[in-house]
Amino acid sequence: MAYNILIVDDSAPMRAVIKKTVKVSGFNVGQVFEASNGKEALDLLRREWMDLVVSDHNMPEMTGLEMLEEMKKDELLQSVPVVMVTTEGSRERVEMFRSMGIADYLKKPFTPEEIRSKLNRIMGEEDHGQGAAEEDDEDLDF
Amino acid sequence: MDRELLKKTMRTSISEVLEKMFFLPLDFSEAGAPEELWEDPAAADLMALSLSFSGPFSGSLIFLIPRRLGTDMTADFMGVERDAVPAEHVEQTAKEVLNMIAGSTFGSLDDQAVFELGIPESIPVGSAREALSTRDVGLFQGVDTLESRIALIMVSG
Repeated sequence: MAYNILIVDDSAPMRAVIKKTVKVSGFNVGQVFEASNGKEALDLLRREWMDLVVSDHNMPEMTGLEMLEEMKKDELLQSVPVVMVTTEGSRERVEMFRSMGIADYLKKPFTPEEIRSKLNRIMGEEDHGQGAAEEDDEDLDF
Repeated sequence: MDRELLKKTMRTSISEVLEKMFFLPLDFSEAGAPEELWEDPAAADLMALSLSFSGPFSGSLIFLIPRRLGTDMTADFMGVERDAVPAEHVEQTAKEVLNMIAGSTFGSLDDQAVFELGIPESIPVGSAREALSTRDVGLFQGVDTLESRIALIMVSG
């Protein structure tokens, strides 16, 4: 099954980096949509079917967490998994993201193997790719 | 802070960002000093960015990158011709690279050491040059890639 992904980031080059990394990772990706902030993302989520959201946090107009809060209030969107992309991977920060209901987080910089492993796990797909096991261990190592 | 540990950590971070995410071949320059940058024929093409940090020690991380390289990196990822890349996107790419290198470096130094990182900002190349001549240079790391040289410089204060 191919999964539709929404990439949310205010930086167009960063959206392109994430898109390319997902595509070369081997994750079974269908259509890729893009939004430059949480507000645009919510508009898209209400118009198009998305299986997964990969979002930055610090964005103008509406942050990633504000977007997540709005999604959790919406019956149709609350079950769409959100992966938060962050530069700062401190335990406090990650715990805060988790308490808000993210499916997982991606610490920049990330590799195609890391992104595939996380997305496959979230979507309940088996991941036999190289690096997947090591990546899971990394979650606990800040 | 152990200078060698800092240098090693920064090299690892540079490698993770530029090799793993941007697929650039890298060659770390052992020698080199800030002065050499301005003597390079490519100096006129440089962009300068700065990110402040505070914690167990404080200062700024200055990132120098040839605009041509930043344009090529952006064009490659966006799948467009280099002439079609807006200057704004080149700047965003450079800011993102600096942000990731800083986050990875300071996040890897010590589990107990907490650093507050600022937001990357573009600065005039002249300001970067002045900072390098008037402030203590804690670390200079030149990196050669695709016939270009980039540099990360940590200055105190």
